[in-house]
Formats: sequence, structure tokens, C-alpha cells
Amino acid sequence: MGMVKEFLKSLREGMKQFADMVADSVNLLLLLAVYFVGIGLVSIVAKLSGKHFLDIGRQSRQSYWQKIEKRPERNSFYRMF
Amino acid sequence: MYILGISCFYHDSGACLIKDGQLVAAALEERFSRKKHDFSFPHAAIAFCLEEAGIDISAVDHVAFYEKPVLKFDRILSQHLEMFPRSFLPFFLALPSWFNEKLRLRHILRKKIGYRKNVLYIPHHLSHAASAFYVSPFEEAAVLTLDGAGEWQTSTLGIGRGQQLQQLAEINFPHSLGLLYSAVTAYLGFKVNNDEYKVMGLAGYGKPRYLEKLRKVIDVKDDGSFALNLEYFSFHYGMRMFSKKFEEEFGPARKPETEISQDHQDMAASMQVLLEEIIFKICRHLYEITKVDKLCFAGGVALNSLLNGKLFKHTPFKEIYIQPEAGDGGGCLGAAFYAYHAVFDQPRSFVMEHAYWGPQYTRAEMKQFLDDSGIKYKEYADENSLLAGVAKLIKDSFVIGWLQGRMEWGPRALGARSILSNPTNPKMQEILNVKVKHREPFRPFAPAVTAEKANEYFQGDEVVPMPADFMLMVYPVRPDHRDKIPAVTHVDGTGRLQTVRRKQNPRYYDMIKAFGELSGYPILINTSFNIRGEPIVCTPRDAYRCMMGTGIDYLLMDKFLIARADNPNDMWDSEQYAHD
Repeated sequence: MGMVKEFLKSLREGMKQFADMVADSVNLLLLLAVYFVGIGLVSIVAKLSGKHFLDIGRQSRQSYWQKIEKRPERNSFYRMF
Repeated sequence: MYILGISCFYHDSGACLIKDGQLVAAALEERFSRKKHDFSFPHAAIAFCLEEAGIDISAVDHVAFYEKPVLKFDRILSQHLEMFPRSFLPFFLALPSWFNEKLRLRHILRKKIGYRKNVLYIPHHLSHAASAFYVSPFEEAAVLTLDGAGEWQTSTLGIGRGQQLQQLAEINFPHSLGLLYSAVTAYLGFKVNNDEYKVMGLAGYGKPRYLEKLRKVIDVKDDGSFALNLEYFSFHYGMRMFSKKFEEEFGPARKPETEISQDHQDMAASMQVLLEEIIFKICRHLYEITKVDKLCFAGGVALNSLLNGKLFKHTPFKEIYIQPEAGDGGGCLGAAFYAYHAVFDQPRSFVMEHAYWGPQYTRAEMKQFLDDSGIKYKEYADENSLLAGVAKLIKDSFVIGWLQGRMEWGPRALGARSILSNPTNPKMQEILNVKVKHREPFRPFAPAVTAEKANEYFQGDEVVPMPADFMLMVYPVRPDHRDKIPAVTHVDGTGRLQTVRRKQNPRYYDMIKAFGELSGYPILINTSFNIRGEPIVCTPRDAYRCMMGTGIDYLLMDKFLIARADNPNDMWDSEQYAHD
């Protein structure tokens, strides 16, 4: 009985390790695809068209403060964005 | 109305609970999980808050989260889009956590604490601003927030009037004073989001020799607005904070745990001076646009006590309020109060006058722990004998672990979970470092002084502001006292004092006074009750474990005095735990 329990325990652990490995592999493939196909293509197209997502090459200005004119609406606080 | 505030998933997660606009409880998760700067979902901190209020999650009317996750994700994606393909590694390391938890808060709330009602998402810097203004004593105040980065904002100017809190101007990522300071922290071989205060301590040893060079990395305008020269940084795409160009300009970065040279000290001093210059300009501009002489300051940069101590001298502000947990952990507080006052339009009635909002343990609970663990102890019969006995131990330069009342909210030990010792002993700093703290010798120890005596020993502001109660102001020690309290006088002649008022913590206050009667100085060394690399202790067990694993001589919990020498010292080896 003890041996069977030990065997089942080891089997469970092995299956879990295998499942983790599969999950990691799938994640890796998905992330590779998202990064190179999704992010990469959009980024290249944006660069070609002169679009910037971050303000990294700032021109010197009189002030870098950006005024906030709009006050958030009450309903906006229920949104994650 | 119960509102549960939550901040988590970046660094220093925390939770607080307010009831009808009054704070009931607040704590950082790290104190329960025992993982320093724990950023995971604050399960234990939430459980504590609910227990303190005597309710379960079904009684909570609203949860307020301290930022807008999708907006922050938008910024992260923008970084990757802009910096492709250089952002490859951070993308792989960070993205899974976004899909597993950061964008699934509602699911996590449902699964982990069974909360199914509405969630309010308060923008990160609005949470910071609210965390200072709504709990301040001011009806009207200018509000400044500065940190690494929120969703997009890194710096905001605002004004609070009554229940209204309005942001007036902003600077957005990647231009950030917090990230600049963190980049220098990393360059000096310290940990980002952990060791910034070490740079502040190191600054006292240096001369600002690199100030002019540092000006190349940031363009600062007269109104304090600024833009980083991103050629010197890599935090927006890489795993490091600074770029090769930064090292070409300033020399190779210091490797962690290697010797600290004069150059490193000068770099720290230069960074500190630059930061102060910029923030003084920002404050003057903020005053110009608000014409209000009261300031509420929040965000991680507000924990720079060296800067805070100089604000009145260099800016038109006359009063200041900084909440004890001004960093990200305190965002939960701001989110909850913003929801209550601004979203639900409820009047203000709460001022945070002390920092004791964490768990406490009764005499019976402590006694049971001591008896069950077979720990030898004695119990003082009354308050006077306790004060006289412990003051004598401190005067004899013993190191005392001090666990009393509710745990502090925020990163500082303020007399609830503290280590106390004698500031008049010139060797005390060395004794503490060898016996307990195992920390870098350049880091100063803080003095705790009775509020009414602060001006006698420190050249502070005429009226010492409330943030000094939270150990958030550094002032020069008066020259004639510097050699009398050498253990708390930093190399530059300053001290990061904590002013203590009796109404906040009567036993702690009385202890300082009792020591003053013996030594002539109503001042104690107050340092955090922890081993280097661990969070501050929370429970009696944590405190006992910390004492037995270090060279702390005595532990005072309520009226129980436990001597390390009376108990078997075989439980823990502190060296095993001493790391950052």
C-alpha cells in the first residue's frame, strides 16, 4: 500500500513538472509571437511613419509642465483606464 | 461606510480600512509575510484591517485601488513599442505578471477575499496627493507629488480645498526625478526601490563635485520642470537604470558590497544637491500658481528627509504635511480617502496625527506567548518602576528592543517597534552595528526627542512641523551639543530626528524623559527593530526571535522585560538573515 502511495505521489509530482514545462513552453512561444509579430510590426510601422510612443527626444521648451485642464469624471473611477 | 484601500503589485503592498472617513487600520503586507518590500496581494494586511474593525468582507462597501492598471499597462506597452527590440528581456520577465494578476484585480479580489462589489481605481499620483492632503490638518494646501512613475505621471502639482483635490500640472514618464535618484542609487551599487536612503546618508560624507556634470543628464527650467536626457539612462527599455554613456561620463559603476570611495560619496552628495535645487524650484513655482503657503508632499521622493528639512528655508511655504507612508505603500490610504471625500462627496473629519495604525497585542497575549515558549522574563509592577528600570539599562548602554502598542504605519520605527539605546555614548553607533544592525557604517542612527525640547538640541524650523513626528525631517544638531550626543550626530552635523509628543505615545515619551533625567539629554537613539534585510518586527514572536538572533540585550513588551542572557541563545543566527 505504501509503495502504491509513494508511486502515485511521484507520478503526481512528475505530471505537475511536465505540465509546468508545457505551460512555460507555450508561454514562451506566445510571448515570442506577441513580441516579434505584435509589438515588432507595430513598432516598425510606427517608426517608419514617425510616430513616437514615448517622449524620449525632447526639444528644449520654456517649461516642461503640462497643464491638466480636465477634471476626471466621477464614473471614470470605476474604470481600470 | 467602509472603504478598503489597497496598493500592491509594484513594491510595498499595503491595505487600510476607513469607516465614515475615519482611519481604522493600516499596515504594510511585508510585516506579516516577513518579506521585505513584499509587493504581492496584501492578503494578511487586509485580514488584519477587517479584524481590527470587527467586520468581514461583506461589510466593506467599496474597495479603492491605488492606480489604474490598464493605463499603466498602456505605458508599459508604449515603452516596448518605442524601444523594440531593445526591450526584449523586460518584456519576457514582466508581461506574464500583467496577465496573471495586475490586470485581473477584480478576479483576485473575488477569489482571495470574496469581494464582489464595486472597485474604484484612483490614479496613482492622485492617490499619492490624496494620501497627504485628506489626512493633513490643512483646509487648503498646495500639493506636490514626486515619485518614480505611476501610470504615466511622475510629478504633479495640485491644490486641495476642503473635499476638493485638483491636479494642475504634470510631468510624465520617462522624465522622472524619482527614477533619476534611483539610477544614481543603482550606479552607487545599491538596490533600487530599497536603498535610496543610503544615498541620502552617504551624501553627508561627500562634496558635490559632480554637480555640473550631473546637470548634463537633466534639463531643468526656472519653474522646476525638467526633462531627462535619456541617452544617459536605460530604465525605459533595459534591466539597468543607467546607460553606458552614464558610466563614460561618471566612471564605472560601483559593484555592490565593494568599498565605497570618496568619488562615490561625492556622487551621492551631487545627486542630493541637484535634487534639492530642482525641488526648491518646483516648490517656488507651486507657491506662485497656488498662493497657498501650506504644502502637502507625497510620493517616494517625499521620504527624502534631508531635503524636507530645508524646504522652509528655501521656499515660501510656512507649513508642511507629509504622511508617514509617503511612498507607494501609502497609496492605499490616498485611494480610500479620495473615494470617500472626492468621489462620494463626504466631508473631511480626520487628521493623521500619529502613525500607530497597525496590530497590537494585549498583555494576556504576550504573557501567553512568553509562558508557552518557556521564556524567562520579569514583569514590572508599575509604570514608574518600568521607566526607571529601563532608563537605567539604556544609560548603561544596553540595547533595548521595544515593542509597545500598535505597530507603525510606514517605513520608520517610531516607538512602537523600535530599538532604543544611549545617544550620549560615542561608541554606541559601533555597538549597535556590531550587535544588531550589521549595516554600513556610514548610515546614521536617528534621535528621538521630546517635541518641546527639539529646538534646544536641533536647529530646526521655529515651529517643528508634524512630519518630524514621523522622522521625515533632517535638521542640524546645535554645535554645542554635537559632541554630547555623538551617536545620533551624522558626519555633516545633522540628525534625522523624531519629535515625540505625549498624546501620541505616552510610554515612549515618558521613557525619553526618564532617560533625560538620568543623562541630562531627553533624547534616545531610535532605530528600526529588525535585522538588516528583514522587515521591522510585528508580533511578540518576531521581536523575541530578532532579539535572540542578534545582540539586543533586553526586550520590553508591555511591562515584560526579557533578558537575552537569561534565555537559551540557540534559536537563530542573525548573520544568516543579514542581507539586503
